[in-house]
Amino acid sequence: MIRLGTSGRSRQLALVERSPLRHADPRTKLALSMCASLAVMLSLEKLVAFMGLYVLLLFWARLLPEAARQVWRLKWVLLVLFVVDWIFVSLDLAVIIVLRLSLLAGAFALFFATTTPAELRLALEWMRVPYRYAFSLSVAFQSVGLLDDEWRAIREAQQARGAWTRPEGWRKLLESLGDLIALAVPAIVMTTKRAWAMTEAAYARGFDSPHRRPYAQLSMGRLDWNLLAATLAVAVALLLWR
Amino acid sequence: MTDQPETAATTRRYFSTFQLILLALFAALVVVAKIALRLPLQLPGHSGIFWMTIVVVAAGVVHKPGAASLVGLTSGIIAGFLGLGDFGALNTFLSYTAVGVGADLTLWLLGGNAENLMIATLAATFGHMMKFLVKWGFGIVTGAPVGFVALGLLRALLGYVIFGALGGLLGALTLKALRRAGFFQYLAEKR
Repeated sequence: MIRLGTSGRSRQLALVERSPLRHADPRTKLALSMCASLAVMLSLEKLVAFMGLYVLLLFWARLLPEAARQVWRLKWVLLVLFVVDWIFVSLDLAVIIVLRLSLLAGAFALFFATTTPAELRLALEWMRVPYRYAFSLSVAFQSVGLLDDEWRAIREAQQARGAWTRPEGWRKLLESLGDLIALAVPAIVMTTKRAWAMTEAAYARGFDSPHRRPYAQLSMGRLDWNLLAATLAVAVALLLWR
Repeated sequence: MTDQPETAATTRRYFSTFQLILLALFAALVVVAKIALRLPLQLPGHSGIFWMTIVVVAAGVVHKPGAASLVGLTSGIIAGFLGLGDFGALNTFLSYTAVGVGADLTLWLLGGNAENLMIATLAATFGHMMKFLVKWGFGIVTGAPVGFVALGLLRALLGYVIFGALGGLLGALTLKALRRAGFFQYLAEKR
């Protein structure tokens, strides 16, 4: 579990360490997630078959609770869509829309629940995303916790000075629009100072060196090739299925 | 032709390293604002008021086309990892990215001055509305009847417009406050 932010309602990166996919290559997981997302274009029979296989994959990968949690958050939307589509159009349409939405909601759980930001960075570099952009992405991840603490500190300081009160209702919100600037300005200034310090630290460590070597390299293992082969086989089977 | 190594001196880059890191931190700030600040208003999209403020400020501080898009893209990836949003990581990623691209596009079309109250308000409104378009797109991809989707998203659209506009206004006012406080001079000295 990687913790981002140390106070209040901060979020966490919930890595499922015991998942067999945790050790798979991030490129493989990205490919699997994208293939799963593309499956929304299948017809009802094929989609039902695909969903069955996908649930089996999630069960094997011990990611079923993660995906189910994501779909559960959509329960009311799915319920309303199902009922309305069933009443006004047909049961087939109701089922296919619910399946497609569930698939779209849960498809990337497979990737995000088993991949660290550092692994994503390596995958991005492999995809020819310039190193500087990939680096800035990991800087952003590592800074969420720090910025969260700073943001709270600014808010508490401004509240103590009477410069910020949480607006209750519309009228108060419009009246206190100026107060929001009292939150935004110090946050922007502190963020800029931090960015400058990070830039200097990065250059001091040879960030722009022309002969830079990555700290780790991705390599495809047997698990990755097996997963990709299985994905290809399922895709071909679904395409040939009449 | 000589085989020269690529160095910082020989390569001209669109964003400097400082600008890239700054935009990345603004993206992190977008996510922090989304998580930490919630107002007791019963309308979806109200977090956009802070969110669009930061996007507009990012576009004003870096002042290059693509700055807001990069903030949107980066914050979309972070938000996806943190499990924000109700429609899954793909929707979250696309929504955040679309917000940045929408704001960038509008700013570019209107001349790019994010300190102008009208331009910033329009850019943020359009940017925030792109979230709606992503949801609409999801509705179309899944095959949901467009009428139902529109009806369901009507209230959300109102929220996106109002809070996007307020966020843009706030962003422009923040930029003006930063200018008065000598922030841009500080940046120029650092460069």
